[in-house]
Amino acid sequence: MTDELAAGQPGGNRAVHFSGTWQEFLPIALVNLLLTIVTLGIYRFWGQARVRRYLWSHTTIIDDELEWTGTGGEMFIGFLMVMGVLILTVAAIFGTAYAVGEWFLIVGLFAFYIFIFWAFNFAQFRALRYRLSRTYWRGIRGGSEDNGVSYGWFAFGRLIAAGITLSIMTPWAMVENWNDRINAMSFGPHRLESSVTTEGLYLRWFAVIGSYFVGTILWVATLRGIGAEMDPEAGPQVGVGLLVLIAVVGLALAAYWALFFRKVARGFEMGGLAAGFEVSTLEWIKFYAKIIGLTIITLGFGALLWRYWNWKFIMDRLALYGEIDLDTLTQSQTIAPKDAEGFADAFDIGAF
Amino acid sequence: MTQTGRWFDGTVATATDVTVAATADGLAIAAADGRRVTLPTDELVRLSSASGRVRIGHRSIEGWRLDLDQPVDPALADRLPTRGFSGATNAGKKAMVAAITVTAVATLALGTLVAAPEVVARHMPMSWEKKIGQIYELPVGTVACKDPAGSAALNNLVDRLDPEARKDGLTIQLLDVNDANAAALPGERMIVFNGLFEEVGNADALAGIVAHEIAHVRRRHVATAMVRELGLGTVLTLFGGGALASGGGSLLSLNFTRGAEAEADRDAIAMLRRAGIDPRETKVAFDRFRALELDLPAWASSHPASAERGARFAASFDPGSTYRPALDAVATKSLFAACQNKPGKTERS
Repeated sequence: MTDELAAGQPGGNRAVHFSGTWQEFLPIALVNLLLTIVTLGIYRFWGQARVRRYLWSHTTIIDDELEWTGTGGEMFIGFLMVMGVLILTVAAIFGTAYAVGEWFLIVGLFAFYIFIFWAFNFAQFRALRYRLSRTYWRGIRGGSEDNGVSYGWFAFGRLIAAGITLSIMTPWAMVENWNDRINAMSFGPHRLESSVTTEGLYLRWFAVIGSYFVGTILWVATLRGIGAEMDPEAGPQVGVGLLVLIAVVGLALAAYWALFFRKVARGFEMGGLAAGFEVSTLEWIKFYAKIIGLTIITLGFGALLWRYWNWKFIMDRLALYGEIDLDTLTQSQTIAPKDAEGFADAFDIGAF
Repeated sequence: MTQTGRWFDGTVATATDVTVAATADGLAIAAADGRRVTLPTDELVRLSSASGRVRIGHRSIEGWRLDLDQPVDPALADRLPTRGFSGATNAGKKAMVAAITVTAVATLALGTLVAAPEVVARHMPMSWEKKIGQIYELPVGTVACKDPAGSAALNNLVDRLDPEARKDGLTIQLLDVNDANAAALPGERMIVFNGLFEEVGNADALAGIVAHEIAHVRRRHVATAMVRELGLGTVLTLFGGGALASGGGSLLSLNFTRGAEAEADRDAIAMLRRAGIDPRETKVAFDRFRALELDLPAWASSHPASAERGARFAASFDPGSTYRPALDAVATKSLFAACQNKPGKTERS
């Protein structure tokens, strides 16, 4: 018996449907905010779980909704575990320096910073692995057999390479890190596969760097020209110049990210499914203009909906193509991680 | 009516059509592929679903899902689980426990955040704090009054108030700055501005103020204030990386807490009593600072509620005790005139 389930077709059905509404989401976000305030931030883990349950369950893939089974308690415990490790490490460095002399602080803190950079990448990996392990579709979940330790070092190394080449190698580092991370993940028995290349990204990245440098030079030159440095009355010109600079670099950055995400989707494959996310730079800009505008108009309360808007924007455009064989989509044998998103929470970063 | 639905068994993504019937203590599931399963209700959990179906999970079988089509057969109503994985029926009780736990944890966390820097600061080796104090070598050196007789008088005053202080590493310098101020700096360093003399008028009042600053140094209030205001990380970096001048500026604006000020006052009163110096003059100085409110001296403005504090000094006066002047007339004169000699650079004391 084969049970092939057809996903979408290019140019046709996307096979991804989001049915949430902001009217339903807003009360959740509002209650989360209030409870987070009165509990001095501790409720945010439970709030996060509630938000995810809502977003996941209102997202249908082909014919069945996603299900989030992660809990606030496990995320809180994961956070406590990681904070414990960090605090003990700092205390150990401090204590040793106290015993053997202050020179140890320099050595210890240097080692600690290295550890933090590794942990940042490790955390991104663990957050993605955790999210997959708590995401069910038709009773099947994802996960990873990789613990992410070596990924942390490889990703760290690539970011250092990007740093010492004055960010020229940034697209390469980002693409390779993305591929490594996705390729280590699985859903059911199927490995997630990512084969993104840097093709086209360099051009847009150099536009970012170029506009930044040229813009800065022009801005400074203009300021010198009008003597703004000396003249306190020239404040407005200084501000306008800076805004133009930010806008130009921002546009270049949006063009880069738009292509990055299109490539990421095109390079994705899993058990006969391919993905598409054909979102143009202009669409991204309109989207951000909309959410920033609405946030300003609502005196900041719009920020409560950012999570919702982002999710909806992505799910309204993400497409899955091909067919998936349900008979071979069996339960994941990966270990469900216990640390939840502790590391990512400790560093306040996301999985992507 | 027959209850229909679909079933994912948790091992494979294929959905199987089922009919579901009530048993004595749970559900009987008959699958289209011939499988028959009976389950007691307490092994099942209720899950939320956005699609309008009633979704049920299994406590111990991962991914096991039973979706019941709507409307649900009334005969099944009391066989369906009501609680989710987190046990929603005990919601009230659980919420209470959670609220108490959260409040306790939050209080503990906040307490730790507030208390930890103070505890850490008090136990920081003085050699590290001295390193930060080195920032002041240069700026202090350029305005210090060189006069040896004046410096000796100031040192004598400190020795009389706290005979061990200078032996333990405390240094005091007189600066040619026309501002009524005195301060404790990182690294057991104290400075007195000669503008203070005009304001206080006599050595006994000066003794009260100097005693107050000695107390700040002895109680490690400086390290505590640094940690509290700049954060532990910055201070550790300053200690570890050999005090960078960049961090130095912000150190000048350190404020002590009211608790620290009160503690320093208590210590100062005790020091005056031991040294046999009349505390009433300190009150007079406080009153004078207060009278000058239009141009409030820095020393008084960073030390709030000076009326009340002055009163505490005055109240410690004991008519039965014999008091001796803090400095004799000659020493007082040389101290108060120390900066009128040509201001020059002093050797570091």
